[in-house]
Parts: sequence; structure tokens; C-alpha cells
Amino acid sequence: MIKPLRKRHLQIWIALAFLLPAGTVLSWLVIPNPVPVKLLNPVATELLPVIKYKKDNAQYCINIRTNKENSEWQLEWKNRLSLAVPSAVIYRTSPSPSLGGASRSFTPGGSQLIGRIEARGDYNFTLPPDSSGHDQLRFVLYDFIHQQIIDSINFQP
Amino acid sequence: MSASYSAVGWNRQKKIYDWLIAGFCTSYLVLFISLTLLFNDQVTFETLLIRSTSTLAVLLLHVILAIGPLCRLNKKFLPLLYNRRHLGVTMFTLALIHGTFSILQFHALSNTNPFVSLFTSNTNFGSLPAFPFQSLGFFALLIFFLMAITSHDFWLHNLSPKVWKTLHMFVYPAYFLVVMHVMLGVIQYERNPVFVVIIFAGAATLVILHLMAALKEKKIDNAAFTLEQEGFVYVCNVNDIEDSRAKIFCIDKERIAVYRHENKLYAIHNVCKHQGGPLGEGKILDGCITCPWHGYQYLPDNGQSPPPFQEKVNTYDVKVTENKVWLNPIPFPEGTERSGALIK
Repeated sequence: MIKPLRKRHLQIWIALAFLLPAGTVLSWLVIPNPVPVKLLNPVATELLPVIKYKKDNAQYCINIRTNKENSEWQLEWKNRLSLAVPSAVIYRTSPSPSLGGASRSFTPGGSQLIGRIEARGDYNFTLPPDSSGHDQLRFVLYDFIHQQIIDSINFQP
Repeated sequence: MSASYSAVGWNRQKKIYDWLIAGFCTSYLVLFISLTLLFNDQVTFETLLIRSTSTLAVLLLHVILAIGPLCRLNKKFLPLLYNRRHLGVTMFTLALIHGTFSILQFHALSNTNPFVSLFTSNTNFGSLPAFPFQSLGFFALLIFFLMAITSHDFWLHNLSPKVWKTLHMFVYPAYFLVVMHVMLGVIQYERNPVFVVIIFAGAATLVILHLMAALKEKKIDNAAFTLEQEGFVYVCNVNDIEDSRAKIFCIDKERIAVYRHENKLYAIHNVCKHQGGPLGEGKILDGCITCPWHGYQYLPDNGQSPPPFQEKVNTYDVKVTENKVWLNPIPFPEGTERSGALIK
């Protein structure tokens, strides 16, 4: 290698020595709703016994499960048909009646990330303990590649 | 090193190298797919292919980028460098499979052209967490494509080493694009910190290796030779140079390799005409100075490749007095015959 080439290599790697850690750390810091769990969570834990709310259509069946004491909550998601996207995420949203419901007021940054599902399969996610409030149970299935809502699911009492 | 065009100049070493690459890649893919199916049997074939090829391509990219500095730090790694281009083409092929299936799966289901969809379905360029990370992967793949199709020596000769090397140095920006493609893509939805740790550790290892190698090279470049005598510079003692090997000296910003062969010393320019390999780190095989990178050869007394090859490097005058080696840093034209200095 000639000297100018060695110098150019050194310059590039000095630049990368700053850019790579900066890019990595910055990308890590901006991950929305940091929760130390693995999101892709196929059924691994035991399902809670009581189905409190249920939504069923041709595409999927969704159950909100709890225990007898209503102290633990789960979202059970069963894909009946394959999704049109290979992977999507479920967000729990806050209601905003003035804007017409969950989907119109939805922003990923302002919502709680529940988990990621794939085109096929059954999934089971733990919900926070305060899930007993009916008006809080609004979910959005979100295509994170195209940044668009696939479906919104509202559980009414 | 070839006098005429051939697709691949196969030899035993290249075959062993390629079999090792194929064996490693196959083992990795089988292991990845088996473990994924074990823990998530609902996963689709396309998803498995996208993930297994992407992780393997990223792993190979790290290995490829580590080979250069490792060889400069320790000669034992030189066999890895010999056929690095095949490793690069393998990595590109895996990245291409990943990119093709990703575009098919994520962008081929609508009326929009998949490539238009790739750049228009998400235009959140101002948002870091929602950044259209797929475009970063696309541009990295484009760079790897240009590198892969120009990897043959045919393009090295036709583009000129300077243009070829400049093009292939785009692997560094491509690596940065790949890291950001991963960090702004899948990492945003896979919260397990182990993924961030792996990417960060890989990047840190490469940065450290390259900076360490650069520091080592800088030491050679900055060595001071102050003792002069009639245009000759005192560089070392005769016994400092092993038989059939060389020592490299940087004088007036040029690196010169002083070889010891059959009780004589010869000096030639240190840079191989093929890809700029360090000739002084090679050895004499069959009477020829042999470049440690790809085996290009030069005769020690005139710096010419043996016929029918036509590569030539500069030669220098060297003399020995009282076991001291003196080198004249003024180069003779490429391929000039020098008789060498007899060691008494």
C-alpha cells in the first residue's frame, strides 16, 4: 500500500471511530418506549384462565385474558389467515374521542408498544396491571416498514 | 498473476479457501434455520431466508473488514487475505438474496413498482426512529454490487489500480450504511440488548484493529535515518535481515524492501503493481520475490516479473560495508538491472 492510501485509510477510520459509536448509541436511544423485553413473544407462558373480552373476525381472533382476581392481564393474538405483511407491531393507544378514536390520534412515539407479531402464528403478550379500565383497551396493528396502520381494535365494555 | 484472461485462476489454496467459505456459510445457515424453527415454528420460509442471509452477510462483512488490519498486525493472518475477494462476492450474494426477498415480501404486494415503493412508502427522513432504513440497505447493496462486478483482475487492469482502489474503498461508507440499516431497522423493534451489544462490539473491534494497524504502519513511516554517506543512508546491520526475507525502510516518504538472497542484498520498491501489496513482507520463492497478498512475483535483481508477465517495480542501489547495510533512496526506472550487494 502506498503512503497516500495508508493516510486515506487512517482518515476514514478516524471518521468511523466517531460516526459508528455515535450512530449506534443514538439509534439505540431513540427506540420508542424502552421496555427490557423481547418483543417477538410466541406463546411460551401459560394462558390466563378467564377471557374477559373477545374480538373475532376472518383475519384474526383476539382475546383479552385475566385471572380470577383481575390482577394479571394478557393479550392473546391468533392469526387465522396470514397477514399481508411479514411482520407488524401492536401498540396500545390512548383514546381520543375528539379525533374519532385510536387510529386517527395514533402516533408510535405516543403509544405503548405491546409486541411484534409475524404473518402467521399465535402470540401472547402480558399487558400492564391497569388493563381493567375498559376505555383503555384500544390497540393498533401497525406496519412498521411502510409506517401505516393495518387495523385498529377497540374493546368496548 | 496471469498473462491472459481467465474467469478464476484456480489453484489448490483457492479451492481450499472456497470450500471453507462454503462449509462455514452452509453450517451457519443450517444452524440459524434449525434454531429459529425450534423456538418459533410459525415463521415463514421468506422470513427465515431474509434473516439468515442478512445476519450471515453482516458477519462476513465484519470478517472481511478485519482481515486487512489483522494481516498488518500479524503475518499469520495472510492466508485469509489471499482469496478475500471470493469472501466479498459471497457476502454480496447473501446480501442480494436478503435484499431481493425483502423487496418481494415488503414491496411487491401492491400496484406500485417495488423499487418506487421502497423509496416512497416511508418518507420520514426527518425522524430517527421512523427513518426509512431500507433505503440505507439498498445503497449499501448497490456499493457491494459495484465492488463484486469489478472484483476480477480484468477490471483492476482496465480501470487502473488507482480508480479500482478508490471504488473499493467505498466498502467503508457501505459498512456504515449497513450498521445504520440494522440499528434503525430491526433493532428498533427487537428490544433484546444483545443485538445492540453485538453490533457495537463488531464496530468497536474493527475501529480498534484498523487504528492499531495504522499506528504500526506510522512507526515504520516515521523511522529516522540520519547517517548518510555519498547519497547512501545507513539502514541496518546485515544480520538483521533473514535469508530469503526482507526488511522495509521508509526513506523520503517511499518504502523500500531490502531482500537477502543467495548471499546478496537487493532493494526494490515495496509496493506490488497488482494491488499495492507490501513486497517486503513476502519472501523469495523459486528465486522470485513473492507478494504476500496474491502471489505476484518479481526478480530481485531487476524488479521485473518473470516472462511472460510484464509487471515492473523500481530498483535501488544497496551496498554493504563492514556488515552495515547502506541504501540509496533514489530509484532507478522500473525494471532496471542492479547487481546487488555481496555480503562478505
